[in-house]
Amino acid sequence: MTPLTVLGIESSCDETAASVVRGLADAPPGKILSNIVYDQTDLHAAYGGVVPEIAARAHAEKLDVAVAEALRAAGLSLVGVDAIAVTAGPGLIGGLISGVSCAKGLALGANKPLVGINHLEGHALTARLTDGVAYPFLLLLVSGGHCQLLSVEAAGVYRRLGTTLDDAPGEAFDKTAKLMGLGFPGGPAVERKAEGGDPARFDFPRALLGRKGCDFSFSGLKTALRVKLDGLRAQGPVSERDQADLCAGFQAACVEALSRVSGKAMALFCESHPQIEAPVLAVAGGVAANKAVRSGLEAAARNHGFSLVAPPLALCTDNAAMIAWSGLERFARGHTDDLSLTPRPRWPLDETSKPVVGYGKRGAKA
Amino acid sequence: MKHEPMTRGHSERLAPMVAEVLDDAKVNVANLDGIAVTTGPGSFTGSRLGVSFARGLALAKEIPAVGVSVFEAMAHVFDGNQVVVSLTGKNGALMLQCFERNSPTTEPLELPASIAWQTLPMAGFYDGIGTEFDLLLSHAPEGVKNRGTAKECQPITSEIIAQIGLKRLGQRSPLPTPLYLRAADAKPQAPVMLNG
Repeated sequence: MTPLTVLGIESSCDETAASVVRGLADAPPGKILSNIVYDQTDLHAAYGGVVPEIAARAHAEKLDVAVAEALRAAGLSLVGVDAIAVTAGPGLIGGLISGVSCAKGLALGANKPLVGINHLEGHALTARLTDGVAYPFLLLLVSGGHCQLLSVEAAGVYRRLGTTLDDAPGEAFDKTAKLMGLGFPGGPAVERKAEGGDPARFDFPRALLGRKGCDFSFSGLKTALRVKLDGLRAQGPVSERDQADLCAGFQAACVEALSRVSGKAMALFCESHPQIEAPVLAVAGGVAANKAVRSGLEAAARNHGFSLVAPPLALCTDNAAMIAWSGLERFARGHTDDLSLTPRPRWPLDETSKPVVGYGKRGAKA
Repeated sequence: MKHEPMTRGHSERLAPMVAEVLDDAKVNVANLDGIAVTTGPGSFTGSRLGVSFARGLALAKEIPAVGVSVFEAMAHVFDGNQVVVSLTGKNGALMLQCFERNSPTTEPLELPASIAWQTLPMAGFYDGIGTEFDLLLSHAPEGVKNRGTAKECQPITSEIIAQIGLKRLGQRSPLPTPLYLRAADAKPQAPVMLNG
């Protein structure tokens, strides 16, 4: 078997990224030949969140530059690439359109096959790219836009066990930071602030834990933080101690929700896959960079006899290596897209699951 | 040349259309010497997807990508002595740029109709093309109103863009970037003071 070499392109949120990955779909892990990420944090910082139009503008002027750099760093030209994989959704439509358009130009110009990739599949398969995890495995995808538990049954076959009914935890972290003026992105800022704080001083809700199933909810947690913060402000200045305790309490609530619901999912996964001796819980997404979240999940995995696979930080947040790897697996299975490939702002990984929220013309949000 | 009016669907159609046009012209993509693309002003998303596609194709082929604004295209086909191109902006504003023969004499701008005339270099007699010359002229001071006439300009097609691209192939042009003329519609966050 000859290894495949795939160029990946990612522009679904606020990172413009390109990467070249080489490997065999049936014999992971893959080899990352280059991994270029132009992060837009500075452009969005003043706004306290990602501004879609600003993100789209930056992508349109950086995509080909990122691709050229990824090829150069890999020591290749497009001639040496077997396929071009691009994130076609879900995400911010402005960035997706630019990314898909650029990939089409590359594919047409270089006469190479085009493969449209679901961004969530990119995150889902990162554990295969980095650690060679075998199918099936359990995945917790936890980022600024997503919070899902998926049973990754086989190549391209996903079963959703649970999802957030409202916000993703990363969004809640960002909003917390915004309310407290801690800066953007909020995840690392809140994590720093929480150090030394007392997580027990304020009582934050852990939603849905008493319910059956593996769904999450984080909007009530956001509201709780705002109410507590307003209460403190009404009494005068909010001290450093108050801020640290608020952040610590908020973070602890997130960690507990994520680990306990993941625990329920691990039990379900074992029931449906009794033959698996060494089950794996893979975690992906930017929130997996949070140390408290990681250690909470590690403990939960240990309790359920799972091993936790958490990719290195740079591959937890958005990147194109994961898109290249997903493209490699899909292309190896004979999947390609033609030049009419259409970006999709909404695109659930498990298209058989019933949408729980926000089902509109564009499809299910989660 | 192919032309399909559409308010949405550019993303799906553009690349297949380019492939079809190359087929119709019996040109292999390998034999392209350059690609020209409109940069705007117009739909932000439309400008972005055209520019992104052109830059991708140019990178793959190692050929130049040439960006042509709507102003430049109109000035090119009209080819007058002193030309002001005015287009409809947002909320009653005008988008305009001036040219002498084919060379721009002002930067492209979007600004309120009431002050637009003041930005014109005053020398010369203007031929006004585009959708908004009458509006522009209505805000000109008395005494200079006789210094411009609205003229017809043929519609811009992809053929015209390609012709301009061909002319500029030898020049070293910067990479095309979308021409927005307007900052993103977003307000920075107000500072948060927690400590008093």
